[in-house]
Amino acid sequence: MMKTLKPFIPLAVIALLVIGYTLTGPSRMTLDLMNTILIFAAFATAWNIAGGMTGLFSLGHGALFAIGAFGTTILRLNLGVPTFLAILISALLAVLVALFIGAISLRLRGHYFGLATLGLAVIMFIMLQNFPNLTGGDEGITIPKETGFWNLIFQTKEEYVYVTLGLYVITAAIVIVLKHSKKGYQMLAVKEDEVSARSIGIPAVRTKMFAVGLSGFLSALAGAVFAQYTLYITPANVGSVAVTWEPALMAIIGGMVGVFGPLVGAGLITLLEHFVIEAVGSSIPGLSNFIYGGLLIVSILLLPNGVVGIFRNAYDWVVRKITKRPKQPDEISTTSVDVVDADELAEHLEPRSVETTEASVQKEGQR
Amino acid sequence: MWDLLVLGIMAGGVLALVAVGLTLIFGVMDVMNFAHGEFVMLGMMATVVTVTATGMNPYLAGLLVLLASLPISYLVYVGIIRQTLGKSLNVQIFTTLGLSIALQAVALMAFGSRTFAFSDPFASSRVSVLGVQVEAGRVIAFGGGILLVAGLWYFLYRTRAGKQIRAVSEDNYAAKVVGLRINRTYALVFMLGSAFAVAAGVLLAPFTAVSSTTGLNYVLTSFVIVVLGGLGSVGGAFIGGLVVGVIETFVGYYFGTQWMQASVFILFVLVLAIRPQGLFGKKSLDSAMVGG
Repeated sequence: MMKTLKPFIPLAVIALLVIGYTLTGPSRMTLDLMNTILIFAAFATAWNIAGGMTGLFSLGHGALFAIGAFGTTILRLNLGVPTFLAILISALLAVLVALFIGAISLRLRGHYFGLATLGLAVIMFIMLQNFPNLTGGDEGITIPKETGFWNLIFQTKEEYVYVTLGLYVITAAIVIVLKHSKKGYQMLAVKEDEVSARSIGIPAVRTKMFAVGLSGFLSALAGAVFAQYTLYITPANVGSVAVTWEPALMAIIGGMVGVFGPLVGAGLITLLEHFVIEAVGSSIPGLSNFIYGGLLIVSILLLPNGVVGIFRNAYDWVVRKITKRPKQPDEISTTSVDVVDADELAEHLEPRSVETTEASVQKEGQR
Repeated sequence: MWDLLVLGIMAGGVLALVAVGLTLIFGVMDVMNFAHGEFVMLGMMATVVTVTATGMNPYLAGLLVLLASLPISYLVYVGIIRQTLGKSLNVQIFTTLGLSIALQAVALMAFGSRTFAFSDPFASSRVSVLGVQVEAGRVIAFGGGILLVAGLWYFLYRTRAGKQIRAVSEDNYAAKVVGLRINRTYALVFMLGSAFAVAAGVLLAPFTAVSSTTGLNYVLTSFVIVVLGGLGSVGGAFIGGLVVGVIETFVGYYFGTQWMQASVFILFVLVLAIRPQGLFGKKSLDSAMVGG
């Protein structure tokens, strides 16, 4: 029991910290930053299921986010569908589009996959702009502020923290469960070496489709919460090219290996944007973007494994100094996999093989 | 119909120029340069600003802009692009993306957020091409595009330096073994590719309005052209540019200009699904196909 709960402890600590901080009554701006960070952290974590865990470097997730935001809003406002049902329907719609991204990955990889998925995001953006009857065109849709739990719309930003935190906790918890499941190991195997993974019998196609579908579902959830939070969605703020590389960028800056890398990245990028604008102000237009672009280049070049990667290296260094063990020789950078426990292993074994073992044991005994 | 075809091919000539520059960098250095469009934008912007400030002939101003861009693109190569060579795909994408954001911001700081345009009496005078009335500026842009691409072809296939570039593109390790200076070749290729983008911007400037965000459209369209023509294929990028120019013109006329870019991307996804190596790409492009 303790063992299955252990991986969730950091997540619980994060949730408690966020709630505790909210109860101290921070300013509106801090709360706004926190909500934004949590929504984008959920989005980046969802992206990471496909991008970091399965190696499908998608640049098309902006389309999925936009489906979540616009789908939910159009279903609610135009067809009067209840909010939670609307979110579910648009998330399922996003799964269909995500499966299309998965289908692209069966034929393309590397540069080509990235470009094709980027193309998908651009098509979605242009469609959102050019069906003004449905999406409001460039002006977008302003969502009426009808507060209430069943609308997921609230009066104060404090209340929203629980929604965005809930979104993030659900997403991160799914990733944690996935990381310790058979599916998670299969995804890792497909990421590291697809040909070898296939040769040991891992259903690579099904694994990729599962990963990208789940990622699409959760991305759309993040999009829906974003719509309910900002109450104003336009093609530019939920579906533009800038949105489509946001989650990838956050996951890379934070670190694509762990569960919390995307959260760290979302926090850093959001705070960076905010403080650069605050420090420079709008006196010289473009200066804040210039600094942002420059910092982006520097951090990508200096931290290819993200902030979490730096911390891991530092931790390893400290451990080496304390235990006085020599540095390990250069190894191929792969993610380490925990050895499965004996009882966990038994779960993975198919019942039939267990029976045959028992049967053979009985035979041994009879002899 | 005929008018649209001629106009489309005219428009495609300049697109081909942008795409040829991108495919050169893409093919030789294996870098996906998201900042390529910003060089087009900076070329247009600098030409427009120079012409409005000094009243110079736009093509003379353009030549000066092109010369001024060479040291800048060399610095960009040494400072940023060289650091990404051989790194993973996501490092390259986001480094060049950061560069693109920074260059856009530079244009915004230097020139402001206005949309710029100027009218040159010569470039906007009409001439008849194959029975179709076209602005002289577009004809010059098309002719300039053809000339530059032909010049590049001659350089790559008929000179020693061009042969070296092709050797590095084929197998950079083997090229290093036989004593070619890889780093110098890369610098040359990046400057050449960027110069093509700037030249396209210069040729577009007399008849196109420009703002600091114009670059993104050009880079996305030229990615489509590059994939359409086949990775690293100069001839493919050229034909691809003309095809995309024609398609955009037809879609713009029949469905409205807002669908121009969407049509190109739908074509893009279709081409990738049916023939991932592009129209003129080599069959054994193992980076493109899974399990290949």
